[in-house]
Amino acid sequence: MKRLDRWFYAPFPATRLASLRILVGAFSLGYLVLFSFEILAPLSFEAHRFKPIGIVSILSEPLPRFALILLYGLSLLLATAFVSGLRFAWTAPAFAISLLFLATYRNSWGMVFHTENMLVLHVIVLSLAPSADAWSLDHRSRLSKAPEDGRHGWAVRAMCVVTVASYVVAGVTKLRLTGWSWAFGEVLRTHIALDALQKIELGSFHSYLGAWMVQFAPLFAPLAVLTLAVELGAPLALIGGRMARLWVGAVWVFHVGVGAIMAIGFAYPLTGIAFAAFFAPERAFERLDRRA
Amino acid sequence: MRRARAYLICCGLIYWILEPAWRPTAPDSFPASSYPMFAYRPEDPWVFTVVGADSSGKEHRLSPSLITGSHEVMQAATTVQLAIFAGESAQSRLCRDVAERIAASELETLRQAKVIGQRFDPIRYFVDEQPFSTVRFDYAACDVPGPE
Repeated sequence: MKRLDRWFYAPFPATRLASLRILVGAFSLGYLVLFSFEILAPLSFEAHRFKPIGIVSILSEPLPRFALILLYGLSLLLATAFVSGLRFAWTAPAFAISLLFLATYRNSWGMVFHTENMLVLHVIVLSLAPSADAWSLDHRSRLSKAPEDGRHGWAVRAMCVVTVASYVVAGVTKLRLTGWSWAFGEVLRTHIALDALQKIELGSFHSYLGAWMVQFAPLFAPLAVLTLAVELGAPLALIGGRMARLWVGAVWVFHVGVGAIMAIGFAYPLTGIAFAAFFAPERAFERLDRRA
Repeated sequence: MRRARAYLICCGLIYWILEPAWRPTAPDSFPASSYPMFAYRPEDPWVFTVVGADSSGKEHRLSPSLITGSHEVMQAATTVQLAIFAGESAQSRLCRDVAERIAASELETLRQAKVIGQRFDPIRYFVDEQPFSTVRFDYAACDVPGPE
């Protein structure tokens, strides 16, 4: 138990959590701006298509147009406050709730996407932790040189656990729905073919690489084994050090592969920000600061 | 107290994230998900879509934005699938929605929208290099409204 506590409540500098707040917050702000057409797409959806899930289940009918636009605008302001660490104790939980609601609302029209899950969970963790104790408008420089403390460490660990758990769930679901035969590759091959076929028939772009690869059946067993290894082997990353670097490298390559073979872009992991908690991102900020 | 709160938050999050793994066949949710999208074996692959037909009856594929009003292809696929599974009135309603979007678009040559389902062998589709469909079912058809 003591060992677990030493790991979980590890003393980290306030700047570690602050750098994660800035990175994840900046990504969230970029996501809200760049994907505004998708987030606001429900404005043009017919009300009968509304299928609320998660937190949005509190609604029995879609939000009025003005309410969605207002919530979106508010989320942009709260995201800016989150990144800059302004009135963090209030604005951060409010931002986490607004992002959770907006992302869930986007997923409440029949199709559940899986691209923002980890981002939303990371924002929730950061909003519940003292992530603005350094490099923020709330504490301009007061705590940036404060001694390392476990209260700045647990959220970093929690972000790593959230990341790892998400991949483990994806792996376990494959085993529960298909069994170990998923590793033979035929299920993966069929999904890649079906995904490309669906995109063609629905008038969208598809991955030519994935469509071409389908004809080579033996390619898919190694790809399926590697997928399961990355997902089920995720807890090894919690050991840290070389093991964490190895897993993060493998999972990043996995996402590059998914992008190339299925034309599905998981922007958050692909930027590397989803895995920043496994490293010491504050050092990069400090280097930038020294150069400036 | 701070430490206990930290443990409480982390344990709550772990339970929230891991819980869907125990019920992978339950409806998917967000942000806690079982990530079922590529986990199951697709036994009976149907592709559901809406196509447009011109005055000669020739069919044209429609973009996801015409089908659902969103650029997301999977959103379009799921919307059509849900409408088909919901029955005739949902199929007709989807057909009318799409026909109205066609009318508002620049696709002036399209006269009809059709909600269809095609059963494919997805591997043969690519390996044989021809759109190999074994079965097709037309669920609904409706006219594109003319200019007012």
